[in-house]
Parts: sequence; structure tokens; C-alpha cells
Amino acid sequence: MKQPAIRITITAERISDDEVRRIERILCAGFDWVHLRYPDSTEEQLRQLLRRIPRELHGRLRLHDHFDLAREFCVGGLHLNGRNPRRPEWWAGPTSRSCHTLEEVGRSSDCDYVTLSPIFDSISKAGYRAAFSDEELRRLNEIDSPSVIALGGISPQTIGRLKPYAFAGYAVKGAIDLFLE
Amino acid sequence: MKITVNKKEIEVDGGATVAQAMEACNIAPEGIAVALNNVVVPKAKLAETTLNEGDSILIIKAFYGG
Repeated sequence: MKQPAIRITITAERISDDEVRRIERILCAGFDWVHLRYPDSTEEQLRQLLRRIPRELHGRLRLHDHFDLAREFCVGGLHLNGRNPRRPEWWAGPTSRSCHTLEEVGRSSDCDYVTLSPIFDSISKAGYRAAFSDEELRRLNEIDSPSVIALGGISPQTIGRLKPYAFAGYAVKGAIDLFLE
Repeated sequence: MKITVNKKEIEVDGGATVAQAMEACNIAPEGIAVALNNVVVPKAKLAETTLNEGDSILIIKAFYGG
């Protein structure tokens, strides 16, 4: 893994009562980005959350849904995914993408980084098993752009297993509390 | 009294504010978020938020890589 690694957190799927505090803690712990991924949230719920997050932190956030909110809030980027696969025509800012094959990574040179998953057996998604062989992951060395972020089963115990591969960093979801202890 | 700024220990006067501690460290308040004991302090409150012994100030860049 390249150093220094890009460190990303993807939020739990529901907006909790202490979500703002939680996002602050994650960024204070040294994570570079917080991806706001609330698949069932309405645009208004996400708008209300963004209003409560200190404006100074908006540049460290990426939206997975309700991209129109990037017209209202100066967020750091948009993250394309299965629900929202297309970059809005009006958006010229940083963009990332969820990838599940090396071929998808290769087609994502328009992004500043992509997540590749699942790298290890997932902690937060039951039955979501590691999908890449050692040989496949070593092919990452041949990809110049974009930066590839490891996702799926990332925990303090598994990070060391990323070292042989050319990941630019890692994304944490289910095990985030283990990083904040 | 002793506080830390980005984990570096510094000495400030009793009753000093977050803004004064930042000034002592030559940190301008533009393009950053400031957290006191892991809670973000709004820019407008930096000059009125007083520090206590052992407090921890953390500077977070507002944009990644900036």
C-alpha cells in the first residue's frame, strides 16, 4: 500500500441521533474523507444533517445520494454507485466510484479515486465474501489511475494484509469503532 | 497551563482562548476546522472559547490534500 494511505469512512446506513458528533470524531481521528451513505434517507433528511455538520467540515464529505445537495453545500465530492451511477452534468468537482471488478477500475480514469470491494470478508454485510485472488490484486500495480481504495472487511487486524498490493488507501465501514477506540 | 495543539504540547496563560492558542502557534483560521477535545468549534466561537489545563486542540484541513 502506498504511503501515506488515504483513509475513508463510509457511514452506517441510518442517520443516528449523534451522527454529527460521530462524523466529527472520525475526522478528528485522522480520517481523510467521510462518505455519507444513507440509502434510505430522503433528500430533506440529508439536507438537515448537512446543516448540522459544521460548514468547515463539508469539504471532507462525499455524497452517495441526493447529488443535487452539492448545489447547496460545498461538499468535497460525489461518489457514484449502483443507485446513482452517473455524474451530474453540472458537477465538475472531485468524483469517486464504487467498483467491484478490475475492469470497472480501468474504466474509471475520470475519478480521483475508486473503492474496490469486497477485498476481505465483510464485517458489516452478512455473506459478502472476499472476491479477489492474490493474483488479481497484484494486477493493481499495473493501474496508474485512478487511485484504488480497498473496501470490505477492513479492520485494524486486516490492514496489514493490504501491504503487498498497490492500494492508495482503505475504506472502513463496519469496523469504524475499532479505529476510534 | 499546558495544552496540546495537534498533539504538540504548548504553554498558554490561564484563561487563554482557542484563538489565542492558535495565534501562538502561527495558525491562521482560514481553510481549517478547529476541534477542541474532538468537538468542532465554530469559527465565530474561537475567540470566546476558553481553554482548560490539558485541553487538546486539533486542526483539520477543510479540504483533503489542501
